[in-house]
Amino acid sequence: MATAASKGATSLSPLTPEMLRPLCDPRSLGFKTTAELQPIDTLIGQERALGALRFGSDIDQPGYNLFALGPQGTGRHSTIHSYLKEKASDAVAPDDWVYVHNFASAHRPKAMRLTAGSAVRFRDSMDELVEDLRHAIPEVFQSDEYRERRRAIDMEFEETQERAFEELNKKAKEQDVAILRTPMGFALAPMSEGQAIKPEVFNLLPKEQKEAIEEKISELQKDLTAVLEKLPLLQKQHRVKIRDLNAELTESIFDTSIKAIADRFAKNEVILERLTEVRKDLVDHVELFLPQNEDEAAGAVPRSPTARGADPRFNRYLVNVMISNDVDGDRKGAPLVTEDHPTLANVVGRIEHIAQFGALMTDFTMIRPGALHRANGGYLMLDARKVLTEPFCWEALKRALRSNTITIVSAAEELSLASTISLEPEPIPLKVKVVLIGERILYYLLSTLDPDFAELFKVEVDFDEELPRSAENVELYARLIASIASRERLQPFNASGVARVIEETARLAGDAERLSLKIGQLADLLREADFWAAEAKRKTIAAADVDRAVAEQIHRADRIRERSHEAIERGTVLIDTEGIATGQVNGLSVISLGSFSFGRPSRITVRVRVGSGKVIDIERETKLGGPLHSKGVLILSGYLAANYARDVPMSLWASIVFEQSYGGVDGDSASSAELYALLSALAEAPISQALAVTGSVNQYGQIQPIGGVNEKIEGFFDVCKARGLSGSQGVLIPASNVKHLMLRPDVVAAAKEGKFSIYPVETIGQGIELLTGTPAGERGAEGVFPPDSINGRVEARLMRFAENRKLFAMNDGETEKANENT
Amino acid sequence: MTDLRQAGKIPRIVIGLRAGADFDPSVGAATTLAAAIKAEILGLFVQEEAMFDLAGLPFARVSKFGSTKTTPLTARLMAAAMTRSAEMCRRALSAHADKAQIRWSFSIEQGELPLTLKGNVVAGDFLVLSGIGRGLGAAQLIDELRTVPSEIRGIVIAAGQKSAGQKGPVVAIDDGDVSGELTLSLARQVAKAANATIELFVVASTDAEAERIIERARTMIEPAQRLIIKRFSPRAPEAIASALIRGDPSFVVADREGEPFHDDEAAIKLLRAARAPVVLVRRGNSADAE
Repeated sequence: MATAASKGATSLSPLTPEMLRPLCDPRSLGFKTTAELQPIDTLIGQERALGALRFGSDIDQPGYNLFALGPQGTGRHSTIHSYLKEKASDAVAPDDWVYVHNFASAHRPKAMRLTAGSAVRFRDSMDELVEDLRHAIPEVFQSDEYRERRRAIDMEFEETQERAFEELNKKAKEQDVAILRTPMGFALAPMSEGQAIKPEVFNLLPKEQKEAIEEKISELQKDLTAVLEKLPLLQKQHRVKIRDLNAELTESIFDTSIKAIADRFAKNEVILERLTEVRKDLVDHVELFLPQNEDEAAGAVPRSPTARGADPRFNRYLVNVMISNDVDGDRKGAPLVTEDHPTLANVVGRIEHIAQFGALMTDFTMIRPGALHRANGGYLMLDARKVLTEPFCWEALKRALRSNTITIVSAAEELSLASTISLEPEPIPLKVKVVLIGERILYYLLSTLDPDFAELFKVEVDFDEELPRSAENVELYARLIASIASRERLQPFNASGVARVIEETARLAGDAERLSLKIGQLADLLREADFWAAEAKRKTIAAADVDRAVAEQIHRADRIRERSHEAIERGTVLIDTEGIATGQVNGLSVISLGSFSFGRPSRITVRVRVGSGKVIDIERETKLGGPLHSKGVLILSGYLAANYARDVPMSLWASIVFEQSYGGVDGDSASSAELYALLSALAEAPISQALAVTGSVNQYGQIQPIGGVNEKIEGFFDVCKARGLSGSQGVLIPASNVKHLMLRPDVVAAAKEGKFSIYPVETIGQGIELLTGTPAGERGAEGVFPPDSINGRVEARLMRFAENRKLFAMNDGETEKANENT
Repeated sequence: MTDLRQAGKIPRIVIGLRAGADFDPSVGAATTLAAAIKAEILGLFVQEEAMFDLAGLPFARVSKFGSTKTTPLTARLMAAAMTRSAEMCRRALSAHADKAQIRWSFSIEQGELPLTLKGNVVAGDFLVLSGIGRGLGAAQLIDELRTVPSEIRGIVIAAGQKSAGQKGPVVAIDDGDVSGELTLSLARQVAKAANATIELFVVASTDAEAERIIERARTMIEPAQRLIIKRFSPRAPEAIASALIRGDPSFVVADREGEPFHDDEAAIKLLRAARAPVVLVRRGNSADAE
């Protein structure tokens, strides 16, 4: 049995044109235009994802939130949105939530759960209450009854105060002492003949008299202190009396106004309880309704605008509606919220502030809801990447889902930057189904790195990006095209147009046997084809319009490709497409720029000499090669060591390089090309430069599939075409990549004319034979390769290297000479 | 400030200010009146000698509201406190007067308040005294009322502050004597400036007397002004006090020597009831009404 290294290419022939681009026959579709087709109302090929979506949205257990993963453009967002929208519309509207002032602790606003649809009515009722009281209460204070009773209290207080002083004053006068009101307080001054005794007079008094005066003053000082000490108590009593009076005269007004509201919400215990609290606070703070001082009233001191209410004094009685589910209006059913800008504040809500005379002020009326508030009781859709890239958002979201509450925190608090006292609103209970939408890599990274993730997002909604290209699926795909055309109000596609679109989606999938499910890209293609059909004044969209759309898409994006090929054409980048060369082969690589990828040939060269068995990858040495490329090169060493001169030490030194490569090189798709160049150098067998090679190789010399096969072939084709197709040019590809071929029509046409060939290669032996025109050679009965075969020449060269190395080791001086002979 | 009095017949309002008293109501009352009668204001801050004498005594101490502790008082502390008080008075006067676009001046003198005022007022001036504050107010006010020079046109007593933001009527109390004309004239001017109603408290023992007072009032007020008339018997200060409480006036004008303010005790009661600046015109100056 032939080994992979020795299997010859005697039976290797180029692929037929049909294999290069499996076409979709318009006649097989069975319709003339898509107008005849029944539109499809669900995604095709996403049964797994749709099943997960149904399960995840139905299960009512903690942690069963959803992560929709898959490539962009697979219809994740629109599918989930439309499914959840329908589901939400049938659900019961959740309760409303409001924040109100906490009379016991102003910095901790209270959250109130109200029945759906009652929040706005309650807010309006409280606004009305404040407005009514603002007019009614001042009238009470201006009534004769109130004035008289109030003045009586004031006068009583003043008289009590005066009396206390009068008595003391009288006592002091009797002892020739006066009470003086100084700027610092009250003081006692000794008097003589109605005048205060001057210090100089006092100093001349006999000692006994001085002591008597001091004694007298000291005693009176105690009395004075006692009077002054009593005054705050009197003031407090005065305040209490006034408060009681205010309460007595206003309670009936409060009761009337509050009863009107209570009647409206008779069955709502929460509101009734709140009204009781409000009534108590109104009674305690009736002075709020007294007219403002003149400066404020006249607007002499500018007042900053407030969040609600014209007068911030009454904010304590207002209601801040966080969530209102108007059962009679637009917001029926459960909420479905999509937050496109998921900042911390937009997700968990925020507390706004207003600047007032240089200070930041806030109150509960400035609490703003976030997406979690709006989605509470329903569904919240978020873009995973945005959530993860917004500071603190991911942690806040997890915290909310773990605790089942929404706690409003700001970024400044998270960073401990804000040391000022702010609000701590009472957390609101949360019941929401969160759907994160993101790429697969995010899902897997989160699964690996975040221990909370698996607990909180248990449902994986995996959107596929491809669909098998079966007859049944082609039919479904045609209906999908019809649906998009109908939804986007495009012209109908005729059968040729649909067939061409299907071919292009296979190309997008990078696989002739599969169809792309990237609905976004498909829709773009359909829209653009419609545009070009309109340009061509066609009523239906045909294959030509789809071709035009594809060509224009490429044209818009291929400036860099043009420059790259131009550099080859002008000889700046050295690529041979004719002739032969030893140790040199045309490799192929793919460059991806945005959504556009193209292939480009690269010259790979190899130099060899005697050495210690080392194959040098210059890309790796210069750190231009990635790990996969390095791995490919090391596999070559393994292949050589296992196949040739197995009984002697490997005495080769070889260097491999991608010529004129100034950027990074990664991937192992050039490893077969590198091996061909190495074998060519060792065997001193020149390689045809009319051929280019792609494919990775394993240690047994088997050629393995690679990505971007279409772009790579087209890249070499374009260079050859620019120089003129000779008929001998072609590309060696892994046989296992044949099923991926969806080449451009011009490549297929050239193949049909015999001007360009694609060879499916399974082994290194097949490839080297094709490239050198020399048999690879198999080991005979004696275990040696035929001397003229590639393998025989390689082994002979390696044996000579080993001998020379041995000689060099034995005789230093002779080694160099021996090497020259080699 | 220049001496405007030399330039013509601009009326002057002298505010007697002392350390330790509530100065804001006095300045506010003076400003209101000055705006109404187009007067200038002189703020006269008197640093009372008695206080400096007291501060010079070795045992001098002060007691404060609500505190059981006393603190020593020295001449240096007293001087500093006096300076601070004077500056606060000056600023309050500046703020009020500038806002109302009234010409003003301010001076500081050392001595005894009544005597200093006596030396600074001239015939035709209005004199503003502090009203009843915390403690000592009534007795001290009575003393000061008794020592006011007789040649002044009227005494303004800043008897408490009007409820903030409220604009009550201007009350004129007329007992029909010769000062009634000046009383009503002042009330009319203040009411006009404040766009307030005039409430005329007619104090008369007979209907005829009352009619005469009312008739005089009707001829004096301007057609656009609103006049409300209330009648009281003489020697019924309680009724007048009660009416003042109910009416909640913004300004009160009365006759110092007439009913009911000639009686000190009644005067104090009425001042408490008024809770507004009270102007007490002096008999013998009615000729200067305008």
